[in-house]
Amino acid sequence: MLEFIRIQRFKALHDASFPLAALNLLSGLNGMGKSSLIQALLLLRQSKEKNILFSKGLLLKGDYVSVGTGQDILSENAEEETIEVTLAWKERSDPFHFIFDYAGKSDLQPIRNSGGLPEENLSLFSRDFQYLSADRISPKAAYEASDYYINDLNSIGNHGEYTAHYIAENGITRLNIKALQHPDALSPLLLDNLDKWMSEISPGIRIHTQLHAAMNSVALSYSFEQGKEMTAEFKPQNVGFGLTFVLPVLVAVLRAKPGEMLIIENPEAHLHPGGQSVLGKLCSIAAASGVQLIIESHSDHFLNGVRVAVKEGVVSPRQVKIFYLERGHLVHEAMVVSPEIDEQGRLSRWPQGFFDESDRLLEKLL
Amino acid sequence: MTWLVFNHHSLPFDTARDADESIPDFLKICLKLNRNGLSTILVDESIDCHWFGLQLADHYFWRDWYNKYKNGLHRDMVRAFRGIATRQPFFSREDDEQGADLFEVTFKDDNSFAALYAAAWHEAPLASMPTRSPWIGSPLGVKVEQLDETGKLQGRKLDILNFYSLDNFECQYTKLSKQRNELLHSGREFYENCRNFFSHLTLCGDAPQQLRDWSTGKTILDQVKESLTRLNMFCEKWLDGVYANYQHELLRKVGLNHKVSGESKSVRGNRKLISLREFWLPEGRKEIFENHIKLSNGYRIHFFVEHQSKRIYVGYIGPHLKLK
Repeated sequence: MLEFIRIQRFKALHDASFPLAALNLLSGLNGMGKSSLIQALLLLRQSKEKNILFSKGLLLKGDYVSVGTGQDILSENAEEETIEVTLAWKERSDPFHFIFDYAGKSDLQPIRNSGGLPEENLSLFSRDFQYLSADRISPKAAYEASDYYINDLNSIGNHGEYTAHYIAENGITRLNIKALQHPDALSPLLLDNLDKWMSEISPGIRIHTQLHAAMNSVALSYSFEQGKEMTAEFKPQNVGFGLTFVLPVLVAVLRAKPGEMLIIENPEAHLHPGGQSVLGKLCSIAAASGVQLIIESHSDHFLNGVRVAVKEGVVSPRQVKIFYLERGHLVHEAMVVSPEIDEQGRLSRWPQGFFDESDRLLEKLL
Repeated sequence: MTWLVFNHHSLPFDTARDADESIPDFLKICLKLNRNGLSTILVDESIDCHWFGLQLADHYFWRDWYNKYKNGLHRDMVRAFRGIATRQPFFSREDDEQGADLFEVTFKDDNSFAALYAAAWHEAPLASMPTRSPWIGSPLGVKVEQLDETGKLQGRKLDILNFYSLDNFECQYTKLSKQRNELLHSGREFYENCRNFFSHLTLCGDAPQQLRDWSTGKTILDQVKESLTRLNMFCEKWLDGVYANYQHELLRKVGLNHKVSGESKSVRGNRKLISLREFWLPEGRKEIFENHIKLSNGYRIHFFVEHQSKRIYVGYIGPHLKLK
């Protein structure tokens, strides 16, 4: 598990530290640096995947993220021309300190300390990793299939584009984490549990996938319980947008195994409030079972789902970290505020702008 | 200061109708205070923490009000009521360890007002219902008596802010928020200049956030500034070779006027308590910050001495960490 991140001179993160837990929730106004933290991790991963991280440096354009050239990423007012990232893992006794020299017009920032990490199974650099961008694939009649992604890379795609294929191939495999089995699910199989967790969002839903190997595509459809019957199957375009948008999130969490790292942006997108808090609970169960999640969210319902999970003992307060990023008062850089959560699910502080909009509006409505 | 104290002595209202008329303003005050950082209401342990069993007027409880208004047009009021965070009791074990039980508050020759006692101890404002005198006035002048470090009884007068109506809130809150913003500004400014002021210290762990959010009195903040200055001076001399090693006593030689110590055996042997004193260094190592400077009112500065680089890391600046 990644336990600590320090980022220096990368975009809005002039010098910010993040002591991580199993479930990490990033929040803050737009443009404060939440995405920068995630981008820094993704840049390291994509550079490692291309086998250039330790030989050449940090690749700014790739499959995970494209952030331009050096001049786009060096912090404003940086007093040194290096971008540095310090990472500490539970599995390693020593932290690793990456120093990249600034190359303003290049999309490759040269690494200064090229010693390399020993070959260890660190989730950020291994197959035990899944990133889901906020820009997830939208509902359509058929989805592309990729054996390489779902089997070799162990990924459902950064946009969730291979989710349907993954379900088609692995719907009847058992969940890796028993605690993620939905109380109403009759079996520990992925598809059964996917149906039940999805039913918390849209009652009585059933998910269907059909692989068309000859066409290298997968058809996705939904049906619904209607009394004792089931409706006909509906194409994703003909049901709520949110269902297809959340499907990769549910699959990513339900298929996870202990030690895996999930980075998910806006898991709550297009969901009704009840569905958002269900995701908070589901992520809490995964975190309590050894999965590390880094979640960027603007949803107070997601946060409340996590808080209730803490209060109900689903996850311990020590397994949850909340990071709120705000702008410095005197300098243009992100400041990290980390409200602590207690055993009752209460937060130690509510910085201004931190999920306080509904209270602000309620005060006006009274 | 992150809470206010509910003044249950101000209840009950004369009639249920009076209560109904006053509650919307009370809820608005709570919301306004919540948005300004006073997010929790301390409630005396003698009353129902969820307030439902609290008697608002004769034969009229908060649960009756709730049932009357929970549906229809007044649902927003009920949402506001349900959104109020409360905490019991008035005094935690840590408060007692810091001397809350050796502290007495008298108001109009009466020392039985638990809410005033809590407000004075926590330096927090009161939230009262606008029922009758003296609860429809602010500030409330109380007399505080406290044993000092030498065991001598010290008396002083203290004004406690009392929020009881929207009009009174607007007047009083300007004063309160001005004081708070000055402290916030001062703590934040201090933090953001720390890199320039203290080149041999590194603020990490909870310390940056604690300084940025500073809302405790200026006296303690001044003690923090003074202590950090002395720690920095010590490091400078250490680097110059004046001192060969770190020792608590040497801090006194550079002018530190507060006691410094490590943790007791019982804290060291307790994994949960030690974890409260564990912080990450920016270099990516977790260390135990057991050394601490003892400031007034139970405030502590916890730090870690890095012997190799002759640098001091400050990880915590705040109320006494738990000992049990």
